[in-house]
Amino acid sequence: MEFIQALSVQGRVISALTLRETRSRYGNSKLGFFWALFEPAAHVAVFVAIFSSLGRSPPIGDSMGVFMLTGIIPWLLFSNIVNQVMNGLIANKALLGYPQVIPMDITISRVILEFSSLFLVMLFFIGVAIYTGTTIKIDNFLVVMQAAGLFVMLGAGVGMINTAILHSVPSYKNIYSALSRPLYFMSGIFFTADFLSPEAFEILGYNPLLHLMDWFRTGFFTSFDSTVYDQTYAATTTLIIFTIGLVMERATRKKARVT
Amino acid sequence: MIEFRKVTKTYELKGGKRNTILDKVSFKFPVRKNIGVLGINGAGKSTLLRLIAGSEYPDKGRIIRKGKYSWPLGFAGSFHDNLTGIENLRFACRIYGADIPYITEFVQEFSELGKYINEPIKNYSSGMRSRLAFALSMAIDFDVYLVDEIMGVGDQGFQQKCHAAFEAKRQTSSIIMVSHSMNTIRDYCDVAILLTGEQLEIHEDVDSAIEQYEALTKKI
Repeated sequence: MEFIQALSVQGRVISALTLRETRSRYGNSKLGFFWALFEPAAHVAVFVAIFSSLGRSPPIGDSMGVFMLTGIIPWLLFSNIVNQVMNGLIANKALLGYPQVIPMDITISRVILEFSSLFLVMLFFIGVAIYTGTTIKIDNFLVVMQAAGLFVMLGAGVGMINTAILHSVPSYKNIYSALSRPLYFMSGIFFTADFLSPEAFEILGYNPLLHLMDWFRTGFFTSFDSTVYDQTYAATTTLIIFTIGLVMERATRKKARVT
Repeated sequence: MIEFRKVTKTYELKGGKRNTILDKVSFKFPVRKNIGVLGINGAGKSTLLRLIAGSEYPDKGRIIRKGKYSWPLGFAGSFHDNLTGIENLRFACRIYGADIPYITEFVQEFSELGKYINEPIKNYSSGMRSRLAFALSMAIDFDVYLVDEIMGVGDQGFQQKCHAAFEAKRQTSSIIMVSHSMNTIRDYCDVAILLTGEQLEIHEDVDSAIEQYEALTKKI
C-alpha cells in the first residue's frame, strides 16, 4: 500500500515537473517550438551545403537532407539528454526544497520532454520532406525505436555520471564539453560505420554511438543494412554506462539536496 | 508524530572541514504541540527544520514521520525564481494533489499580492515571498507547519491574519518554528527545543528555554 502511494506521489511529481519544463522551454517565448526545429535544421543545412558543394551523392537513399536528418536527430537525442540531465539539478535546485521532489524525478521529466520534442521534430521534418516530394518510407519502425531507446539510455547514463561528478568537481562541465566535442565528428552523423575502412573502424568502433547510428539507419532505410555494426556491443556498453549512472546517482543523492 | 533515531548530521564548510549539527540524536518530538526551536546562529536550526520536513537527509540514523508535514516555509524556500507566483502555486498544487482553482482563489485573497501573483518570483521582495508561502501553505492542509523565520514579516495587518489563520487551525494542526524573535516564539509556542552542543533539549516552559538561550548568546 505504502509502495503504491509512493509511486502515485512520484507520478504526480514527474508529471508536474514535465509540465513545468515544457512551459519554461516552449511556453514563454513566442517563437517556442521554432527553436526546437531550428537547431537540427541548421545542422542539416550546413552539412547538406558542404557535401553538395563537394559534389557528393548521399551515402544512403536519394536525399542528402534525409540522410543528415537521420544522423542529427539521434545525435541530438543523445547529446541534448546529457546536457539536460546535467543541468537539470542546478536549474531546479529550489524545487528540491519540496520533500517529495527527488533528483531522479527531474532527470526523468527532462528525458521525457527531450524525447517527445525530438520525436515531434523528426515527424515535422519527415512531413516537410514528403511535402516537398521526397519519398520516405521507414523500413522498420521497431528497429528505429530500439536504437532511439538506446540513445536515450546512453544519454541519461552519461548525464547522471556527469551530474554525480559535478557535485564534487564543479569545473567538470567545461572539461566534459571539451572532451565530448570530437564525438560529434566520430559518431557517424554524416557517414556510416559501414563505409569506414576496416582500419578506421578498428579504432572508431569502440564508440557505441557509431554502432547505434548504423542501427538507427538500418531500421530507417530499406536500402541499407549495415554489415559492421554490433548490436550486442552497442546494447551492452549502453546498459553498463546507464547502470553506472544509476549507481552514481544513488551514491551522491544526499549531496544533491544540500542547499 | 516525528521521531529521530540516532540521527547524525554534519555540514561541509568551505575549507573542507565538517561542522556537526546533530550527533547521534534520538528524540521524540512532542505531539500536537506548537514547538519553538532555539539555538545560536549557525547551530543548525534551519537544517533541523529541513530534516524534519524531509528536504534533506541525515548522514546517519533514521527519521520516522507520520502525518502531513509542510515544506520548510522560509526565505530560501521552494519557489523557483524564474516562475511566476501562479506557476509556482500550480506546481505545488500538482505535487500535493491539491485542487488548483480553489487554492488559486484562496491564495489570491489571502496573500494580497495583487498583480504580482503573475510576476516571476525573482521580482518579489522577501515580504512578498513569505506572503505567498504562507497563503499557499494555509490553503493546503498540513498536520504540521514548519516555519523558518518568516513569521513576523509583512505589516501588522498581515501578521494578525497569519495569527488568526493559525488559531483557526489549532484543532487540527501544529507548528514547529525557528525564529530569532523571542516575542514570536512566546506568542505561538507551547514548548521549546534548544539546539545546543549537537543535541536537542526539550523545555516544557518556554520562558526558561528563552532564558537559557539568552545566556548562550551572551557567552559568545
